[in-house]
Amino acid sequence: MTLVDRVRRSLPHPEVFRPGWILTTGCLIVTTVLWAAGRVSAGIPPGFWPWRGFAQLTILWSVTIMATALLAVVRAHALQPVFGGLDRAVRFHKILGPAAILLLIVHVVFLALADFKKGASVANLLIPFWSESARSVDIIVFYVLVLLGALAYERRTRYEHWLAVHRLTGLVFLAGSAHAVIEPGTVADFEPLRTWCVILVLAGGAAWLYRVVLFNRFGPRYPYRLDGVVSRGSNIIDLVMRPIERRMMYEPGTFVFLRIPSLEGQQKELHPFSISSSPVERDLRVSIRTVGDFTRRLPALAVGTHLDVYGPFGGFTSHRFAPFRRIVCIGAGIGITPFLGMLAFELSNHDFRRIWVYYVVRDEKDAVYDSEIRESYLNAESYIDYALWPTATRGRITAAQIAADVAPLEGYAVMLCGQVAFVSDLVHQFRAIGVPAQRIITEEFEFR
Amino acid sequence: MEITVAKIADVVTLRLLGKLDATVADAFEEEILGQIDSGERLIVVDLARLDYIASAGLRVLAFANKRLNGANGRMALCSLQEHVREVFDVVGFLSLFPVYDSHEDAARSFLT
Repeated sequence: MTLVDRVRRSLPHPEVFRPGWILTTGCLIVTTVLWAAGRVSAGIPPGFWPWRGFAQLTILWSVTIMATALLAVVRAHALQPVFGGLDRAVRFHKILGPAAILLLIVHVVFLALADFKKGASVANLLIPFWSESARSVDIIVFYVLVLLGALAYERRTRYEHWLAVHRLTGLVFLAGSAHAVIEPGTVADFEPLRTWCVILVLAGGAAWLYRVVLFNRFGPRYPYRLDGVVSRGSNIIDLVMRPIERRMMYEPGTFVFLRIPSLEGQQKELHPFSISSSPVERDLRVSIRTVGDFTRRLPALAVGTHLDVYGPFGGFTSHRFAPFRRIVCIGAGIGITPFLGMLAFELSNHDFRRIWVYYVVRDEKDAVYDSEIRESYLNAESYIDYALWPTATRGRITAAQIAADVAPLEGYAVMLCGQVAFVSDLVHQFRAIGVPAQRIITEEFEFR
Repeated sequence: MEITVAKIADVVTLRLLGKLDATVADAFEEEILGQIDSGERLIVVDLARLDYIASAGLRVLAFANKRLNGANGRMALCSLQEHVREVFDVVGFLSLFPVYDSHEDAARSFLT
């Protein structure tokens, strides 16, 4: 490896400089600087370093990160560019949320170490109502947050229960943060720091309020009526919807949340689905794998059923990556659906590209969109090569095989959509053969 | 799209004018394959007045080139407009076809 390569590899990845990360880092710097100024202003009491000092910093970082994490998933169109679309924002949230909880735990550990060093009882920190001086409310909030944080990663729960746990986590965290801001101490004693913390809590609180309470009513909602349910086989259906009033304008590859007010017991639930139609078509089509409580009820919907469509969301759209004129699209299973919209759009645009499409399925009977791709999209103006990849007969698809297909051309971008393990594996493979990370665009089919 | 055909010595020149997309690709395919089937082996496709080319047109060129090569013939392209050249570059056709700046250069290349 040359020196230049070594230097290049040691530099932070461009992803670090995405606006979402810049926002988070900037907020952390402001928090740290104001805390340091507050400490200098108030003076440093004996025994403050190292544990009590670190304890204060970690809890402030935790609040800062949680506020950003709440902002990331607010589903507000104005904030989408900051996080590169809601799908990326969710991934960002998945990093920040656990980081905030982890910092909270570290905070308690540091406090315990500070008390231990002082010879005070650690039980006051860990057991609510242990003594009169125990901060019982804080301790209970801490345990509730850790429990909710753990439940948020329990994958067996129903989507709606998981969502409820998430909502509660944000609320409890905000309540705890607000409590910390009001309590006497470094934050309350140094006005600039207190103001900053109030801003963070208010921003996080507003994000939570909009996302959890107001979104259903005030989110970007478009009423549609169901025009047809098309069964594709292999538990996959298409919902074709016609706008009742104005139609939703969207980019191919984005997704929407659907709510069906007449679906008894689940009338308030919002579920995300990929759009598989082209924006030039009047009807909106989403393609769905019917594997959950909600989706299994969809094939029985009657034509004419009213649906609320919220969106569009997401940044998994080739038009956001205009400089990449050579694109390899790999969709696994239902992960092909965002590419259907993109391919359909290729029929009517003049953005000439070289496109390779790989439709990865277990076996050919699962390739429910194969004929649609062959019959409808290969005559697009862009130059499209298409390959159906049944893993039962061709084995697992690899980045090396794809690179061999594309060779001798270089400078291509890769768009991947499918289950997390599939996407993650191929991302590593493409990185290993030298495709730069900024040319690998992914969408994982998991919102939790 | 208009196609004009001219033959000087052994070199057949197809001049394309307008847009070569899916709607006219069949007509172009018929013309160029007809030339090959009738025994022409040196073909220049002059793209000086071609404003736009879609994948259907590119596929015809690739197919005709393959057939001509199989028959020991040669094909050259010339006078590509900048945006058409960009399309050829994106698709990787600049390494597939000999491309020349002028018709004279393209015709002369067959002498070597």
